[in-house]
Amino acid sequence: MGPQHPSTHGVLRLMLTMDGEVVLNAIPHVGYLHRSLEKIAENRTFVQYIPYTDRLDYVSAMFGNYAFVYPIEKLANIPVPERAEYIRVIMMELNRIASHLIWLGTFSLDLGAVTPFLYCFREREKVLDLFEMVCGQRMTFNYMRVGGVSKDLPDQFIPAAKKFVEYFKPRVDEYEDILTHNPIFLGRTKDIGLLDKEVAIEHSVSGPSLRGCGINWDLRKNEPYSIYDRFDFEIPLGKTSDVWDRYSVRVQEMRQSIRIVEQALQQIPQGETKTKIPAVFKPPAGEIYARIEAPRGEMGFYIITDGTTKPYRVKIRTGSFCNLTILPKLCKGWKIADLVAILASLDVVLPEVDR
Amino acid sequence: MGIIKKFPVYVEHIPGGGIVTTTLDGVLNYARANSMWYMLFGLACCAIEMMATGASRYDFDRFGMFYRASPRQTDLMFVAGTVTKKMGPRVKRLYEQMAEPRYVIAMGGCAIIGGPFYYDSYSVLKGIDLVIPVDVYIPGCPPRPESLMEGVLKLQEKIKKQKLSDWA
Amino acid sequence: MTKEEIAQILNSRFSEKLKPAESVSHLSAFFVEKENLIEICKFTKQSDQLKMDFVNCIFATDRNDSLEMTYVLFSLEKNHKLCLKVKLPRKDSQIDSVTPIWEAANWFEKETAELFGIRFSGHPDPGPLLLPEDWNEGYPMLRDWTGKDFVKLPPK
Repeated sequence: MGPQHPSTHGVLRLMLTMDGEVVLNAIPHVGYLHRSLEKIAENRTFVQYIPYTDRLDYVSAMFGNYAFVYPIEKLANIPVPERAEYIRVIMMELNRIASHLIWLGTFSLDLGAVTPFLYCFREREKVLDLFEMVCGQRMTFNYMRVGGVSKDLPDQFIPAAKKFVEYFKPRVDEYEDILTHNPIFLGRTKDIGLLDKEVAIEHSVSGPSLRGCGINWDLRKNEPYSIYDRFDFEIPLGKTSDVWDRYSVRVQEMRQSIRIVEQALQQIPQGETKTKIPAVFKPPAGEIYARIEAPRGEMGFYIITDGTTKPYRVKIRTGSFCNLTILPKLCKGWKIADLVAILASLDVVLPEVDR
Repeated sequence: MGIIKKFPVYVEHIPGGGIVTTTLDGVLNYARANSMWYMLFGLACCAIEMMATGASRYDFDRFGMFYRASPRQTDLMFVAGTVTKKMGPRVKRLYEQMAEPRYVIAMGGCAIIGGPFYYDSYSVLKGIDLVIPVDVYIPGCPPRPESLMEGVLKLQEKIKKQKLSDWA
Repeated sequence: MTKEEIAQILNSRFSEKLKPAESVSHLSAFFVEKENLIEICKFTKQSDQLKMDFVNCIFATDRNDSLEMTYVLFSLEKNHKLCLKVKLPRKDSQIDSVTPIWEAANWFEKETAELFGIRFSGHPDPGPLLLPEDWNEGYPMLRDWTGKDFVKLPPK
């Protein structure tokens, strides 16, 4: 099942061992998008590397930006102004919604439903309008900097964002109406691709796939970073860890994200948006590992600095890298159409795997 | 009759009857340009912009273009995204599987010259035109949907200038 | 558990085999000899107080005169992290694989093997992961590596 196929999300090659229609084994072959981001990091300054972190997981580029900037701020003890933290949280949660919308659109397209794909992209265009208002780009933002964000919000952003929040809340109900209790959808997703808790932990799975098994682990609550401890939101969990549960966890997460955005828009203070750091920025020599909860799992950067303007070594740990390794275990014994549904429910984005 | 007013180059009106003549070139090029079916070949970030251009707000269907999964049924390939050395031979094979006349649009900086990954990268192919011939280059990282449509319109102009003797 | 408590538990059992790594901040980190790696890793997984069942990352760094493997481990239940480092020679280095202990280490070690040239003995499935199958230009992540069409960013 080759690198170019309408149902593989990116360039993934699967070697399938089949017995008629039934899949016996599925081995993923990756590396078709290996862009050597870690080698590039050794020859770029910290500010020059931020656009590359967008292209790691381009669907949720704000998380890539933040995951790179956060360890450096922790290592060099740089304080971040309040307003910048609120702006960061709003951007990240809006990006989480955009990422889950793409996932929902392509997931239903894989299962054969074309209408949710168009609805989701319609919503996503509205989110991208908000992003374009702030930083001028639709998809790869280059917005966060060490010590804050690069530009302040324009005046028309907050009213537009509030209007979007009111517009979006009934939309999630609309998607649930179409899909969640639809008998065809249930037939294709219920009790398919069951993931054991022990297998998930053994393979270091993280993100909504882990929460679909019922394990209550979300870095925003268990290891709070930024100002997430000021907001009131819940962590949706699954019960039976099948494809339907993973779908339902993500749809509920969209609801919780819009709740966070609403609270942040009400609480956002005035103030500075970036701490002043020297133009030639040299963090102290040392090593640090810090991680955040990206839409696909845990994204962490291990950065080794040596006191110069460029990092010595950057290691990128992404959620999809570990999530993809459970695919052979998940799809034993299912038919090939179910394999498509299972792969889509894992929400793997190949640039994250290949870096 | 409206079509005669629109395309005076292609159509001559013979007085006295309902006969319309044109050149074979004109009709074939018109048909090819306005109904290009493209292959889903998104590799990286530009793929999402390609999908967004085909979706609700910027619609490709009004140009007569929609996606097909198999290369045998398409005549346009958007190379959207970074092409690595591992993927290069596969792109060549897919290009050879497309039936002639076939066109290639290189979308985004990475497909043109390697993009931001030109320096310090050991695994990125520095431009897709090292492997297959390209008709239109669309710069951007990623290019906006409007740029993409401009690129498609330029390709349509290029097709309308083609002569049958080139292909037959 | 805090950094200090983890350090105390490990030191009480393996004191002569560990050396603290000072450069890592916010994590308890130790240098370990490669012969003792498997024993210590098994202990961290099976111990009731540590219970490290989650792999955060496993990678190598080129320190100009040697290679350094880093293992960052995590416990889902107890919510604490640990970092182990092993020094290896630059050429023809070989180390035991921790894949029998944590299945998640499988792909991390494959990637490190093909990019740095470290051999992992006991790895169930050695072979290229990210590079093309016919790659024969060496180990790209070493700092002094150059290849056929490798263009370095010119300094300003």
